[in-house]
Order: sequence, then structure tokens, then C-alpha cells
Amino acid sequence: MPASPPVTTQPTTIAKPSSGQGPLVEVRDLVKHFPVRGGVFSRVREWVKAVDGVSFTLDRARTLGLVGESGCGKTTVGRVMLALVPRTSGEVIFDGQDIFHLPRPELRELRRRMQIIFQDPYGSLNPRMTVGAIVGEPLWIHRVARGQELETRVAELLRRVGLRPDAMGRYPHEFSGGQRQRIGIARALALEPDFIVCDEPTSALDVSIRAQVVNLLRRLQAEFGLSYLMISHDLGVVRHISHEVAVMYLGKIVEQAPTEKLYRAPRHPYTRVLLSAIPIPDPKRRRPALVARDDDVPSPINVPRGCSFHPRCPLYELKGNPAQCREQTPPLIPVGGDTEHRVACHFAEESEAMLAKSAIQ
Amino acid sequence: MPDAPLLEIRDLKTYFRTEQGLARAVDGVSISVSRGKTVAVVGESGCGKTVTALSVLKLVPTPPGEFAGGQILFEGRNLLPLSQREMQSIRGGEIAMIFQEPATSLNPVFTIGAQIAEAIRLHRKLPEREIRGEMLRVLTEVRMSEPERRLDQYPHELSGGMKQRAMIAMALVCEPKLLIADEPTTALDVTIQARILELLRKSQSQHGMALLLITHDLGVVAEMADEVVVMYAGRVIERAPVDELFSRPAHPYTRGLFESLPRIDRHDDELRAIEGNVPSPTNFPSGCRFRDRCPLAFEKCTDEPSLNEVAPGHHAACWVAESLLTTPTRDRVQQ
Repeated sequence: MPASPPVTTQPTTIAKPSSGQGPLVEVRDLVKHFPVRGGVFSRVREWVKAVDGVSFTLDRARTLGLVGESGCGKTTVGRVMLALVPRTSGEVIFDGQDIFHLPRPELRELRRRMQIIFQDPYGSLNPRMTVGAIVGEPLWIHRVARGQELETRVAELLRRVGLRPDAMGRYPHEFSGGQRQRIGIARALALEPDFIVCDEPTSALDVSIRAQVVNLLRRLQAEFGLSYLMISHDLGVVRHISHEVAVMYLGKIVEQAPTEKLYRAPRHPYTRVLLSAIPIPDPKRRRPALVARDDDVPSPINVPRGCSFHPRCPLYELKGNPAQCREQTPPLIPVGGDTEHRVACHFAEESEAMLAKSAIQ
Repeated sequence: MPDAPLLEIRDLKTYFRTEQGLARAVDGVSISVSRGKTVAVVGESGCGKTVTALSVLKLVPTPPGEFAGGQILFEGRNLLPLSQREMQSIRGGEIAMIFQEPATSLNPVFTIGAQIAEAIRLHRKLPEREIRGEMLRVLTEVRMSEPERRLDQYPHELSGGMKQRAMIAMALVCEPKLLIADEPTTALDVTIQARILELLRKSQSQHGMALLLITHDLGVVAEMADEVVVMYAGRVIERAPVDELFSRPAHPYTRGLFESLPRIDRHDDELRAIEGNVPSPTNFPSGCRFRDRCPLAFEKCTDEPSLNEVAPGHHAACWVAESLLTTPTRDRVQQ
């Protein structure tokens, strides 16, 4: 693994060491099941199938949005990809290297290139450390810089995220939620990563601050060629920052397409339900939501057989409860001959005509 | 008096004594809600909307809070001087409230049935034997799945959407004239949110109930509101009927909110953010409280503008509001 090039104090687009062509990150059939233990001997009674066979690729300087509601597994995907949580099975290939089979010293090196920004700007910063210590900690741990050079780098990072360098001596509680999120971003940038998992980075922020953070993330991507996995339930934010979007439901990807295609012509009934449920800020466009049949999402412990969405699926109902949906799990395959647009639904080709009312134009 | 508003908050001031000084959380707020109508109060953290809602039912702990001024008139009667005991007959009975986190407002050690029954016993004169039937009726009305089973379940056994339905059931069972809903769907998944909002609308029309809806989500406002009140830094800075507010926002803050929204029905290149941060309630700037962040601020803004009528039924607190009425916001221009 080549050493990082020497850093200057001026922000430059630093050439990343790379093994050549191909996607930066490749996730193959990732599975994460959590055991549920019970009984006197803590025997495993059931499994939470949090992530149940997820595959995708991510290129350099691109953003993949990963959306879905609670329990879909999107946060777990992010954690497992960074080896923060051990996987059950599957592979993650980062720049040609299989991260789950790397010896520890190599994995540690690789970790510098893969970072994470958390949802909770209050919980993810150690309240007993100064901002300078928080942002500088990665540089310290990886022995990248010390002393005066460390301080210079931290100041530069803070400036880059729109904070004043004098924030270094202050503590997280002195800052607002949006500012704390910027501190988290500065920390994630410290080691000049190629790839950042953004786990709901704007959900805890006020509406007007979200725009600031989204703009910042986009700017940083353009400046540094960063790749993002944008995990969010906020479909508005996702639309603005993602090149491609994958929709998850109960541990699986049910639809994946370039952003505009997904929003303009969603094919999976769940995607349609999701998009139509979002209230649009325009009173002239009040329209009835295309509703899922049951109110509550089944738990990932008890995933329905066949297609996991069938008990709530409006298309299943419209088609008279076909057995296929109850018995066979639909594969994620291209629809309408479009290899960029993949859907996991037995009736994907017909869904558009049958559910036409709900598309967001 | 059919035309008098059901609820009239007049120049309300609710302050808190804190270590950092006096926090003027609600600093001269006036809001009216008519029978059967929905008024949405929208604003971001620290604007005072939640404290305003809590003040109506005097749920603000005093100390450290204090009602420093103004009146809260419900059917013409000022609630502020009432004792807690007198408020108890109003809470739940005439004015009900539902909160953002159903997990924290449902008592974890009592079953759902016990909690709904408690509400009925406090506010309605139903014979004991009819209570169970009434509970099932209201749970069915809120479309709770398996209502009989829920009566004997504890809150932790219910999902977020179900807990919210239970809370709405508790609120509706006493046929209140006014329901105050503080961010009722913020903690819920979006598909569940759509159904809860639908439920609120339906209940409203069925019961002729007024709704005071506190939210930060402009999409929810567009779906639900008849009238919108925009708050910033403890004050009302704009007020208008919903169609008017969305098509002709007049205050720079409201306009900034619209322009910074990432919309799912459109793609924009860069989001227009409102720079800076909300001021702290212990330290509001002098003059117009938005001027530090306002792209249109000029010398006159050191004088605080009052809430003036800029169009019929449309009020805004800004010196240039009238001219902004006819200027389309950036997101409109793109369309």
C-alpha cells in the first residue's frame, strides 16, 4: 500500500493512490444477521435479518443514496462496510482489496481511506475533548502529524468546513447542531479519505441548516473526488446529492436506479408508496397518498415469505394476491431492458401502468 | 358568537429563568384558531413554537418558566390565571394535546386500555360498563389493528405508529374542541406519517375539531393547514392563509425556508441555504431578530418591524415585505 503523498497547507486535489480502473467499492451479497438470545442458557432463538444479501458498486467521486424506513438495514450496511460491525457473510472489495480478509495492519491502513459521519451531532463528539483534539485525533492515531503541523492541519480542516480555526480550543457543547455536524465532517476528512459513509447526516438538523450541510458535502466531493454512501430516510436530501439511489426494505435492495430515473419513474410498488407518502410543500398539490396496506412494517425477525413486501403491497392486492409473490423472492433485475434500473418485483413491468397515479413528476 | 375564535393567544410572553439569563422563549405571540380549522405553527428549533403550545395548557413548569404577559382566551375565558386544578378539567376534556414522542407521553407501567379509560373517567360521565365499548370504538376510529388486543398491551409492545394512534385515541375519546399536536409525526417513518395525517384530517372533519399543529415540516403544513403562522426567535414573523403563504411568501425568513428545501419533486443544483444560526433566546439581537442572517438587511432593520398587513389576511414583520410579495422566490422562478 503506497504511502500518502506529502501534504501541503494549500487545499489541492490530491491524487489518490489507486490500483487502476474499476469501482472504488464493491459490495457483494452482504449479509448481517443478529442473533436474538433467550432462555436460561442464552440460546439463540431467532435471527434479526438486518441485511440480507445486498450488492452494489460505487465509483470514485460518486454518491450512492441508500434509502428506506426504520428496520430496512441501511445503517447496518454502512457499519458492516467499514468493518465496524462484523459481517455474517459476503464481501466488500475496496480499491481491489478484500477488506474482510486483510491482516490487521493492512486493514488499519485501509481504514484511513474509509470514514464515517454520524447522524447524531450531539452523541458522536466526545464532550470532554476540545474540537481541536477531536478533529486532530485521527491524525494523531495514524501518526500523520504532531505538534505545530497537527495544529495547522486542523485549522485548515475547520476552515474547509466553514468554521473558524479558533473553534479548536472550544468544546462541542458550545456549538449548534449544524456546527457540530461540520466538526464531524472535518474529523472525517482529516485523513483524506476516498470514501465516506454518511449515516443520516442531516436528520437531526433544522431544515435551513440541512441545506448548508448538503451544499458543503457536495462541494467537498467536487473538490476532493470523494465517494459517499448517503444513508438517509430523507428523500429530498438524497435527491440532491446522489447520482444513484438504492431503496431498501427489510434487509434487501428492492430498487436501484440513477437518481432522476428513480424519482421520475419508480417501478417497485414500495418505492412508489414511499415517494407518494412524502408531503409536498405545495398546497395545490395535495393528493391522496398511495398507501401500503398495513400500517406497520413487519420486523426483520419475521420477514414474510416470498417477496417480503407482499403483505403491504398495493400491486399484490390489485393483481388478486398472486401465489408467486407469496412463494418466490423476486430477484433484483433490470426492468424494461434498462440495465441501469433494477427492480425486485415479479410484476415490475406492469407496475407503472397499474399504479400510475403515484409517480412524482 | 360563531365568529369569535375558539382559541385566541394574545401577546403571550413565556420566559424562563436560566443560568445564562432570562430566556424569552415566547416573546409577544398572538395566534387565533377558529372552530374546525387547522392552524399550523411552523419554525425551527428555538423559535418558541413548542413552548407556545405548552403554554396554552399551562404545561410549562413554573419555575423556571413564568407567564410574563399576555392572555390565552379559550371560548372567551382567559386560561392564564386559572389554577392547576381548574386546568385539569380543561386538559383532555376541552383541549387535548398529542406530542412528538409517544413513547414518553404514554405511561409505560399502565396498559393502553387503562390509560384510555382514565381519560374517559376524568372527562366524561359514562357508566363503567360502557367504557370498554367506547374504548374499542375509538381505537377502531383511529384504525388501530386488533383493538381488543391492544387494550391489554403495554406501550412498549406497540410500534411507533401504533403508539401514536393510541395517543390520538386518548385525545379524541373526550371529544375535545381543540387538539394541539406538537410535531405528531416527526418521529415516525414517512409511510406511517402519511396515514397519521390522514387520520387527523378525518377525525377533524368528523368531530368538527380545531387543530393547532406545530411542525417544522412545510410539506405537512401544505397538506394540513388552513392558515399558517411562521415563528422566529420567539415572535410571529408572518401569518397568512396557506395558499397565500406558499404562493406569495413575504418575509425573507419564510422565503429562505422555501428556497432551502430539498424537494423530491424537483432537482436543483445548489440549495439556497440560510447562512448563520438561530439566535439564542437569552440573547436576541436588537431590532429585527432576523437581520444578522437576512440577505436584504439594511439600516432601517435596526428598528424592529411590527407585524403589518401586506395583503388581505396576510401579515408580515418586515420593512420590505410588501415588495417581496410580488417577487417570486427562486424556487418558483425555476418552475
